[in-house]
Formats: sequence, C-alpha cells, structure tokens
Amino acid sequence: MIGETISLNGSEYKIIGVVPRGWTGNLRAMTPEIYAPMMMGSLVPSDGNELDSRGDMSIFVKARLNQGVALVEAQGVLDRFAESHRRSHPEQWQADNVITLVPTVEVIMNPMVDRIIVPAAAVLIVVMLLVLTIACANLAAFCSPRRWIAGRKLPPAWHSEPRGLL
Amino acid sequence: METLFRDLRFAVRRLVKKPVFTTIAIVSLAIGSGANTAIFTLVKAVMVGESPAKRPQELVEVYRATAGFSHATFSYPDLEELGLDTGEVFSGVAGSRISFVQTDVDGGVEVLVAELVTGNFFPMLGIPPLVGRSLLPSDDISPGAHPVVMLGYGAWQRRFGGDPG
Repeated sequence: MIGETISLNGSEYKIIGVVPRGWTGNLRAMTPEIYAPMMMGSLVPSDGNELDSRGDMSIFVKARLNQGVALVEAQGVLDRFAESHRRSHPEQWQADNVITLVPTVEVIMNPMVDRIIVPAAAVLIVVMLLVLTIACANLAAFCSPRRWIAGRKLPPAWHSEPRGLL
Repeated sequence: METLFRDLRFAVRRLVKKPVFTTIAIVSLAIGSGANTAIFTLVKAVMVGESPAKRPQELVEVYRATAGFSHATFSYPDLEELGLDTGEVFSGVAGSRISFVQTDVDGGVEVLVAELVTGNFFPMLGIPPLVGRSLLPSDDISPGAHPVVMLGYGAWQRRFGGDPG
C-alpha cells in the first residue's frame, strides 16, 4: 500500500503513510481521510493564489509553547504581532482585530462551536439515559408480567386468562 | 427459578398473542439501542477522544478575533510571519486547512475530506505515523511540487483493508 498512488482531483498522489487511529484531524468532528502538504493548492477550490493572498483567511493555526513560557507571555508577543499587522495591512487587519490564544486541551472543535456542542452533547446524553431507562423498564415488565398483573388488582376474568394459558 | 420460567412462558405467549404490540416494542427497543449507540459514539469521538499528540499541555490554538468571529482563521502569509516572529515564545507554529477532494472509486467519483497541513504539522504535534512516514517540512517547499499524501486511519481500513505493506 505504501508507495501506491491515489487519484485526487484528477492528479496522482503517492501514499507515504497512515496517521494513527487516535488522530481525528484538527476539527475532531470532521475526520479527514487524506492529509496533504499545504503547498498542494490543486486540492483546494480557489483562484490559485491562496498561498500569497492575505484575504484568503482559511488556515487554522496551532503552536507549541517553548518550555517554561506562560500563556500570558505568549499573548504579549502576539499582541505586538497583531498591532504591527494592523498598521502594515489595514485592509485585512481592521482596528478591532486581535489575536487570542486558547490551550488546545480546552478546545473540542472551535471555542465558538464548542459553546453550542457541549450543551447539545449534554442534552443527548440525558436523552440517551432516558431511553435506556425506558428500555430497562420495558424489559423488567416483560420478565415479570404475572407479578405485575397480580399487583394491579385486575378483575377475576383477567386473572383467569394467564392461568388458563399456563 | 420455576417462577421465572413460568413468567417467561407467559410473557412469550402474551407477546405472540399481540403481534402489533410486540412489533412496536421490539422496534422501539431496536431504535432506542441504535440511537444510544450512535449518540455515545458521537460524544466519545468529539469529546472524550484522547489526542495522540506529545505533551498536549504545551499546545495552543491561535485565533484571530474579528468583529464577527471571536475565534477566526489566518491567511498563509500571516501564518508564515507568525512562525518567523514568535520564536521567543513558540518552538513551532503550524497550520492546516480543510478541503474536499474527489477520488475515483470503481468507475465512479467519491468526495473525501482532506486536510492540507504545513510540513512541520505532524513533527510539531509529535504524532508518529502508524504506517510508513509522516509528512515532513521537505514535503512542503514548492507550490505544486509534492504530490504525496498520508491516509487517515478510516480511509486506510476502508480502501486498503488495513494492509500495513
């Protein structure tokens, strides 16, 4: 399999490896099946200058802190970076544009999206527990119908039916 | 034990006598179990899955906050400059973007989710390849000059049956 080619958007690409099972991509809910170099722009629907254009804002950025560097310290450097870009590229970096840092371990997809999916996931879990409870109650009722019926003080005619059957 | 068997026999007889009720009950349980499995799989994948990245506590997400979006993305020139200008605090800055690509499958066309990553993406995260090798900085130098890809685990299983060769 390694060294074989796969056709992507009409061009052949050589397969060099497989990512580990636990890696589900940068946006966890949208697991990629292909990882390619950023330089292969033919895989991106664009006008061809996405690597030069400051207007093409579509890149998610991750960074690794130097050992011993605090988040606040890194934020200070990024504040200066943003200020410099607001001056040098005012068209793309408007006056209110800033850079924010969030530890990766605190992010599921994107902090904006996480605000929606975390409560939604909590609701789904509650629904799941309710369905499980109902299923268990159904199962319990199936397993002990005589005792359940007996406890209901039903008319004698109803009681006589199971005895007849058995 | 005898009571239990009697109850079970009775339950089966009742169920056989009421096929509509039995069908509804079985379908309800099947849907409930299926829905639970689907929900749990989704929640596990999105929220519980542990990243294979090395020293994840050192990793940060960098966002551009604009008037409309509090956590937005960057352009490629911005990414390059971030890498050059932040060496005093970051040991690495990497980028990725999502795209959809077409591939040929049995005479037809299939759309796949692709992630385009900078050459230092996997080395910086410390994610080793399961099979073969990772994308490296040397695979990401000149536009259009590096037709190589890594497969996601799912694509590897689905298309190649997990062949390690």
